[in-house]
Amino acid sequence: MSRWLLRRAAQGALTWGIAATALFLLVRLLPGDPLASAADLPPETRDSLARLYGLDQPLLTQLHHFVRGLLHGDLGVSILHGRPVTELIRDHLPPTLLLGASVLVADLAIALWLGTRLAARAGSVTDRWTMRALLTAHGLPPFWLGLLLVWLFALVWRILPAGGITDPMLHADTGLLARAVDVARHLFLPWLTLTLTGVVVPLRHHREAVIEALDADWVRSARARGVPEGEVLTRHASRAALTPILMVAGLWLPMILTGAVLVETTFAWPGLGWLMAESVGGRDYPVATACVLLGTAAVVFGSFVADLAQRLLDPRVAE
Amino acid sequence: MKVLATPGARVAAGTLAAFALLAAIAPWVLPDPYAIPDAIGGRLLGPSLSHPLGTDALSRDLLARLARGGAVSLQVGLMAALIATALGGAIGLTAASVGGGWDTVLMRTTDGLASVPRAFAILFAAAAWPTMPLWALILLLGVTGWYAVARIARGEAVRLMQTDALLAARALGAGRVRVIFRHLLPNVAGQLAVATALGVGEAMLLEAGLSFLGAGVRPPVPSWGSMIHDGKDVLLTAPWATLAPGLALTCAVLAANRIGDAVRDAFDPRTR
Amino acid sequence: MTLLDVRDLRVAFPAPNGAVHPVDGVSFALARGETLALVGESGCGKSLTALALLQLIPRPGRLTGGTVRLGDVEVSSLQGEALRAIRGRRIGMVFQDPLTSLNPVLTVGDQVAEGLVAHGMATRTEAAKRAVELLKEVGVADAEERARAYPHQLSGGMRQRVGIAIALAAEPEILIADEPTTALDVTVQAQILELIDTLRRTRGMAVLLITHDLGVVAGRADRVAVMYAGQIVEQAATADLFARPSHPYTRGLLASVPRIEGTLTRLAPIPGSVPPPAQWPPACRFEPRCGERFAKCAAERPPLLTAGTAHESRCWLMERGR
Repeated sequence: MSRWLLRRAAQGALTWGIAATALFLLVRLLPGDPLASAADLPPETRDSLARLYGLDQPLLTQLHHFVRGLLHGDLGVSILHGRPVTELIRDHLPPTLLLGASVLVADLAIALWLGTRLAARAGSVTDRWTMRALLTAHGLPPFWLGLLLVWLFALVWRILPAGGITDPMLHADTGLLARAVDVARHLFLPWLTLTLTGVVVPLRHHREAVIEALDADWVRSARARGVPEGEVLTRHASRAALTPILMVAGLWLPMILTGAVLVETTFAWPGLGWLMAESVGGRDYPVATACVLLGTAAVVFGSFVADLAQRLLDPRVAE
Repeated sequence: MKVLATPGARVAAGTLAAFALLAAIAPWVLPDPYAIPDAIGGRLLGPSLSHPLGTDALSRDLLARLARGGAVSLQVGLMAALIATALGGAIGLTAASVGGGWDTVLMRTTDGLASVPRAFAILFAAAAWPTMPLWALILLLGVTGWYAVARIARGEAVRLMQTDALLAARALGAGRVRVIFRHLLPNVAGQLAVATALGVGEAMLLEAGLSFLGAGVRPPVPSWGSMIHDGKDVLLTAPWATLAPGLALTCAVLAANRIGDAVRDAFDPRTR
Repeated sequence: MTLLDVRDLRVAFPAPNGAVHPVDGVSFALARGETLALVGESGCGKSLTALALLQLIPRPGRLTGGTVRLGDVEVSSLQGEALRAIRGRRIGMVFQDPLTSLNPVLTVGDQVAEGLVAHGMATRTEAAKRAVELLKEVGVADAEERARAYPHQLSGGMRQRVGIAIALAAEPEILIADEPTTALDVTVQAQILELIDTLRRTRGMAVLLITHDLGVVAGRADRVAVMYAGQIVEQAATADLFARPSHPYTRGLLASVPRIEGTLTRLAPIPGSVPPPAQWPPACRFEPRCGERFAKCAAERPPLLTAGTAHESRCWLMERGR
């Protein structure tokens, strides 16, 4: 196991490295100097930025400087904010983790539970209409859905906040529970938007996997020995169908992050996606670079976790 | 055509045709989407006879902008999807027919590139190139969307390479290029068509999202995404400015996806 | 005494030109403690017959006629909990392919124990212990350790033993073995058949043995029913069938088995091939391939006629005293 972990981790690092190289290559193909907006900064800052992000050095040298900076926690200074990039990342990472994790968990839970139930009724009216509804939700632009939800819940009904992560008017010594509730209230709409628009992706896969599993010989065997139908569905069909969902994780994670950028902006949720979007308008190339590489790292890590889960859940994979 | 067999597919095709038609006749029937007739008094008017969808914050006719924006979105979506499919198909088929070390290198690279969330990648490029023109945006959309297609094409091609038909062709000395074009491509064409159709919807959503963030189609060229962005601040007073482009975008994306499903069903050996 | 009485069983599958009936009026009886072999080539409907008994016919097939009486219970009309009470508890089934018939993500012990828990015969812990005993009973070495293994970690023969243990866990009166040795090596086949026989004797069960292999039948079955094109064409005690085969198909089957003794002769296959259900002849289904056919065979469908004591044959030759 530990050998596999090491190998897989190295593979992940290589994958990330390929992505980073490609991105740095891409930027070299584009015209103009991305650091042009740094002209007014003090010379030492400009120099460090040139080392980390400058394009007139060989690609390998830049990669070398960047990785060293990454390991030492020094990724330069934000052109827009004047603060160290690592600080900005540190401040904006938790909200994205919170949003991303809650969406991931919700989507998985719904996909597993609802996907199994729909598979048992495949072809029925319930099944067809539910799938249609979910596919329609997937076609909705997440930022538009978000706006509609804000309009309804925050402007018309006024029961939820319109944006942000906390209430700026909260008293300084409000208790932990009250703070948590406050964040939860702010989290609800962005979470709902991302969950609704994204759930069909894993759900569709799981439903298909369970439909296939229900035809399997071992399901027939289970029925032949008198296992109740409910258990046949969960213990035999759904359990054996878990692997496909995990295999899809690699495709699905980048989609969640893409959605997160749009949703965070719509709700002024101060996460990594919001930071990324802001850096575009603000010509803040260092922050943009850090965000995209961090987003990629998140996907690679998620992929790794999915592979690990697959190994743990499916005894056949380990052989 | 078998693709249009079901009523759903027909409705979808009709929807897309309607948008195309609207864009085509707009220059003759509707006001100029760029004109600003009355920047003060004509702002954010509700739907009326002269402005069926009302006006935006700069008093431009919303229906005209919707029509023009539709044309832009559809074109961007289609071209980006075509680029993505062409790239993905080329890489996937090459990897399968070359095999060995090159196959591994190509697929590993694909995995690496696919790990970058699409929106992040394009935003990154936008941050480095603030004045990115439309053609570059389309190219970027295409270049960030081919990974799944490449994997599918390669998978199918690898399977085909093992078939007797292909083993015979190679035994008879068929060169690599010939193998790709005469043997692999026709069999993978169905999957590629499906990928293109589904890719259009994805690309449109992404373009709209980028325009919403200000990093996509640049003003004053209208885009459904930027229209939604403009309407966001006046949501309470002029909801139609946000509703109309959003609905249009949703309908177009769903229509494109429905056509994609219809193409897939048409090529599915089980339903032939 | 008769344990299972099957009369006129019929299964339908939808087809482009009207439904086909791969099981078309099958009748047989199973007495306590005996082994009945259901023999036939692939496609004759023997597996479907077995599945039909437990209402496990794969979609889109349906049971459309006949009765299955188990004691005083009409199994074919049961549903839900009543049906579940029969499955595994009164009738157990061993399947052909031991690899695909076992859930790959559950341990072998779990699957053996499952039947016990499902029928309320034991708690989880009790069932787990009983599972190990059952595995011992079917001849799995190191039963305790093996119970924690996954199906793919066991050999084919071992997996089939597990399959038998699973089928017997809830102590059914009848065991249906659907081609239990087809997927196994020859050396293992004999062991499995021996095992089934021993278990039958020690538990007093009745066994319905489905097979295409006459060799399997010879030493193990008390009675044989030969199936062709969805129907039983001959039924008799084993010795009687081998000594005095009445139906031309049976005769053809026996003639095409290679023998060790005697002079070396050419194998004598039955000419032609089994027609698919959609192309079954309207009268006697074997007629086109039969070397002893005459006018009536193509004109009228033969019922099961007496061919001797407890010996029936679906052939017009019986009228002619042959």
